[in-house]
Amino acid sequence: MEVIALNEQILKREAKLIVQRCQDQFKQKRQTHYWIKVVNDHYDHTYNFFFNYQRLHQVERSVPVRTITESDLQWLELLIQEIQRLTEFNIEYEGFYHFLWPNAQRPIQKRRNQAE
Amino acid sequence: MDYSREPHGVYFLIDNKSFYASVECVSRGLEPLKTCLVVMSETDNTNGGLILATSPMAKQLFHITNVSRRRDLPDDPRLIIVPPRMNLYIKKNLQINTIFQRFVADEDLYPYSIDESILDLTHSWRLFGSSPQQVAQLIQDTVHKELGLRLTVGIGENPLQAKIALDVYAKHDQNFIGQITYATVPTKLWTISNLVDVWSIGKRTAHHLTRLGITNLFELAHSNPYMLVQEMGVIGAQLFALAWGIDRSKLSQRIKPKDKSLGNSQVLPRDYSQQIEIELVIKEIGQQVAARVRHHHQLTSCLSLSIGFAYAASAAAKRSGFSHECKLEPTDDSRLITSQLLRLFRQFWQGEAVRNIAVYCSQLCANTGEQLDLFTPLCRQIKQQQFNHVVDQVRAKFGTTSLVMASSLLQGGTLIRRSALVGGHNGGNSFE
Repeated sequence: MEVIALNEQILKREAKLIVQRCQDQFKQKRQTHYWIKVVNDHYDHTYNFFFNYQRLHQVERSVPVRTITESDLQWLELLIQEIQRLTEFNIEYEGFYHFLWPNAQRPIQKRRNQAE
Repeated sequence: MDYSREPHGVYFLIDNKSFYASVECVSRGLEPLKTCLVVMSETDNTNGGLILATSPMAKQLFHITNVSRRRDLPDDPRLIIVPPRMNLYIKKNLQINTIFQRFVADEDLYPYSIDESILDLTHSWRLFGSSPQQVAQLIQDTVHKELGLRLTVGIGENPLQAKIALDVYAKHDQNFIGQITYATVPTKLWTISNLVDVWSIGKRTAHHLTRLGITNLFELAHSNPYMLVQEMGVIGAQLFALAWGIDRSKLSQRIKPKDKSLGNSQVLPRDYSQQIEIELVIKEIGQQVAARVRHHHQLTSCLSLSIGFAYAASAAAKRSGFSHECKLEPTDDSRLITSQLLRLFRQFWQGEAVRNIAVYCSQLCANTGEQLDLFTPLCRQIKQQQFNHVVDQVRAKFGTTSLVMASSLLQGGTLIRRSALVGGHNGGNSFE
């Protein structure tokens, strides 16, 4: 019971940190698209979080916000749910083609990306 | 030319294709060769942004070169700008060198820079393939499979040939492999028309050679070596050997520098014209260098201060800055070092606006004991030494910014903002 509570605490802290770092970069500029990118880095076995933003017809900016070294999809699903509870930024996934969310049983990433 | 008495080995010079940009692409799940990405440092002193690395596609499409500025970048939606993470690149470099250690013995691997390594495969290449090219490809494939990064490999019978093969041929080769041997020197080396494309020949050397009537490597190889030595000294002889693809260096023999020095320099975020602000930064750098001297258990007896003026000030003063040295009794004391630096600065500064500051400590000797001074009370000297060591210990344990001079909080102080930088750029720790 204690272990579950501790895990939940870590999860909430991680989500809060990621959202906080995204909020720091969020400048609320007009005609600008802001989104969070989650990458399954199969070389380093990590989940990398980036905060991306792009003004219409301009360059894209991508700022790293967090690297999660725990490569556990079930944990990631809970983390994403917590992030979505805290913020309304869209989330884009890379490196998850053919992966399903363990609980929801829905595909994580619908389209294959260029590196896969 | 008789090459039979020259060293014949198998050397690889391996470089990462657009290293920083490729690492950033891979961490984002993007293909490094197909993505337009630039790594841009946006610290205070980069004047809007300094491009550290450009992916091959961005180079091709937008003709962006490294060390360009933010203003040179096109506003194209295909382009991705990312901040640098120096610590991540150091980690990746170590991972790559660990892979190289599977192919060569530790003593045959020489890291050359953050993205280049020299491998002496003379004794081990036969274990991994039937030709050096095959081994090069195997190393490329291994690194690509395990880290997602692309390597370019220059192969030569000596390190010089490998380096030129890498710089001139491998980068443009379909398989990212280039090779030069003694037999191919006339076809591969002498055909290089632009002298500055060759390693160790910069603009000024090329200009000097042009003045002597030498405009390409063929002419250099067929010039009179005695004339070259007479004109350029020992460098002339080196250049003549280079043109014939000869390199007799033994990498296993480590070169011992005659006089090691420790120092730091920085470009200021803006032009500093107030004495108090400039002196504050000199003090900060002085303390940083003194801490490094103590960390290496050394004492310094020669201090050097270099000041670079701002553009406008250097035009008005008709000099770009000044650099002066002073001798002192061997010491590692921060207070003594900074007071001497300030004395030097006050002596030679005439009110010009400053943009660069560098501090160096040379003539280092091992710190085997404190030389006491007859004219200062003993307890004060010991107290000062203990004070320095306590500050060092606190900083080593809790970070550089755990103890700073209150004056670093004043306008103009750069220590706190620079503490998270690695090699002058963002270390990336705050993203982890």
